Amino acid sequence: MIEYIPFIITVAYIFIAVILGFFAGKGKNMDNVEEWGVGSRSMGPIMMYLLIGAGGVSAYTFMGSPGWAYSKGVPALYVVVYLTYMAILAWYFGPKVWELGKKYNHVTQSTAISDRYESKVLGGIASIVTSIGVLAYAVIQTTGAAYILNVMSYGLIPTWVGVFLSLGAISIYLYKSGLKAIGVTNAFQGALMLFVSFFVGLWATKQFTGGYSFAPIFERVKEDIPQFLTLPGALGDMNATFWTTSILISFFSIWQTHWIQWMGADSKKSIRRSATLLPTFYVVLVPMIVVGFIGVFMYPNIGTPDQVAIQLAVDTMPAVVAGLLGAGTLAAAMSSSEPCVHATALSYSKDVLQPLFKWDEKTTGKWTRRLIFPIMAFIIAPISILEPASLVYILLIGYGFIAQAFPAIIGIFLWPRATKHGAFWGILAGFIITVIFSFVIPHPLDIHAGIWGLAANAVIFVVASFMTQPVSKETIERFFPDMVDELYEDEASPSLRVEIK
Amino acid sequence: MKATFKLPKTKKGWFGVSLIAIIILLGGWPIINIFNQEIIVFGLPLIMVWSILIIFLTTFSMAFINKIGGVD
Repeated sequence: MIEYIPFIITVAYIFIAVILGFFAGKGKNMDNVEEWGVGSRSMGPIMMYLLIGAGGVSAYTFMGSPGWAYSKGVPALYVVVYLTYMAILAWYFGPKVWELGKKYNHVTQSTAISDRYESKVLGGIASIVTSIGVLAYAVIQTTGAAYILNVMSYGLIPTWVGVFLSLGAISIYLYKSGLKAIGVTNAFQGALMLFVSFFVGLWATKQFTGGYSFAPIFERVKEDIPQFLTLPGALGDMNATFWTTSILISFFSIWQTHWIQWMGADSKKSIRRSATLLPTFYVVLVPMIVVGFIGVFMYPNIGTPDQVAIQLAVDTMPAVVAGLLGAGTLAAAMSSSEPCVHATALSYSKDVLQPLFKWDEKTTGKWTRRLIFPIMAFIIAPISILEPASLVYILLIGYGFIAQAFPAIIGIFLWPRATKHGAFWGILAGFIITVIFSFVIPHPLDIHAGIWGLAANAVIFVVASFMTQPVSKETIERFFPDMVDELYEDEASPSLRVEIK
Repeated sequence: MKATFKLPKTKKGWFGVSLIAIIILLGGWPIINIFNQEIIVFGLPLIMVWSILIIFLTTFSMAFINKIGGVD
C-alpha cells in the first residue's frame, strides 16, 4: 500500500485543483465573453505573478530542465534566461495591450490584429495559424501529465486514461470559471512548484552529498566531467551563438495565451508590478537543474534524460516527497495546457466563428466556453494518445510561427505605417524561412531558424508596408492618438494654405 | 502619411530603453563568453551564477525604470 502514496498525493492534487477552479467563478455569468475570457479584468498583481509564472514553467521545463542538465549540463540554463527576458515583454507590452483591449474591447491578439490592420481575414488567419503552435504545446503538456500519472500509479493508469483524467479535470473548472479558474489554479500550482522544486533540490543534495551545499556536486562535475560546466555542453550542440539566438527567438514570441492573461489584470499597474517581479519566479528552475547534475552520477545510463528527476525521486526519496514531485510536475503540465485550451477556444470563437457566421455577442459568449470540449476531445486528446514522433516538429514550427507575429505586433504599438499586406507577407516569408532552416538546412551558422525567419519577415514587413496603402486615418487616430499631428503634417499643410487664400 | 517610428520622447524613456538593451546583451554573445568558464563560484558554475544574477538585474532594472517613470 505504501508504494501508492505518491500516486494518492498526485491524484489528491487534481481534486484540489478542480475544487479551487470550480468555485473560482462562483456567482458570475460565464456565458459572457468578457467574464469567461478575461475574468472581467479583475486580477491583482500577486495573482498575475503566479498566473504568468506558473504558465511559463511547463512540464517541458520542469522535467526537461533536469533532463537537459543531465544530458548537456549548463546549456539547460538558457531556459532560465529566456523566461526572464520574456518578463520584459510582459512588462513593456502588457500594460499597452491591456489599455488598448479595455478601450476597444479586444480580448485576443487576433482581434487586435484585425482591428489595427482593418482586416478580419488577417485576424482569422493569425488565429488559426498561431493556434497550431499553441495546441501542439497543449498536446505535449497533456502527454507529460499522462506520463506522470502512469509512473506514479506504477503503470496502472495507461496513457489514454491519464489523458482523459487530466483533460477531464481541466474541462470541469475551465468550463465553469474560465480565466478565473486558470488564475486560481495557477496560483496554487505556482506555489506548489516553488515549494516542490526547492524541497526536492535540497533533499536530493542532502542525499547525495550529506549536506545542503551544491558545491560538492559541482566540484565533482568539474573534476570528472568538466564539459558539463561550459557551453557548448556535453553534447557539443549549444555554442554561444545558438544559446543567444535560442534566447532571442523565445524573447520575441508573444503567445496568444500571454496576451489573454495580460487582459485579465485589474489595471495596467498590476501587470507592470507583477511583470517586474516575474523573473524571480524562474529561480524555481535552478534546484531542478541541480537535480539533473546529481542524476549524471546516480544514473549514468538512463534511457530518457527527461525522466531523471522523477526516477531519482521514486528511487531515493520518501513516498511523500516523491508524491509531491509528481503533484508538482502534474501542476506544471496542467498550468501550461489549460491556458492553451482557453486561449484557442476564445480566439476561434471571437476571431474565426463570430465574423464567419456573423454571430452577435450573446451567441459568441455561449459558444466560447463550449468550444473547449471539441478542442479537447477531437484535437488534443487523440493526438496526445497517439504520441506522434513528429510532435516536436509540429511544436518547432509552432514556435517559429509565434515569433513571426512579432513585427505585426510592433505595427500595432510602434509603427503606424505598417500595413496588412506588410504583416501578411512578412509572416508568410518568416514562416517559410523558419520551416526551411528548421528541417532542410538546420540552423545555418548556428543561428536559430526562427531568427533567420524573423530577419526575412522584418525586411518584407517594412518593404511591403511601404509599397501598399496605410490604414485609414480613423484607425491611426485610435491606435496612435499622440502621433496623428506629426504623421499627417504634410497632408494638413496644403489644405491650410487653400483656406488662407 | 509619414513613416515615423514611435520612439521614447524623454531622456528617461531613452535611458529605460538603453538599460533594457544592456540587460539583454548581458545574457548573450559576446558577454556570455566571459562567464563561460570552468570556474565554481559560491558553489555553483560561473555561468549559473551569472544566469541567476541576470534574473535579479532584470527585476531591479524594471523596478528602477518604473520608479523614474522611464516607460513610454
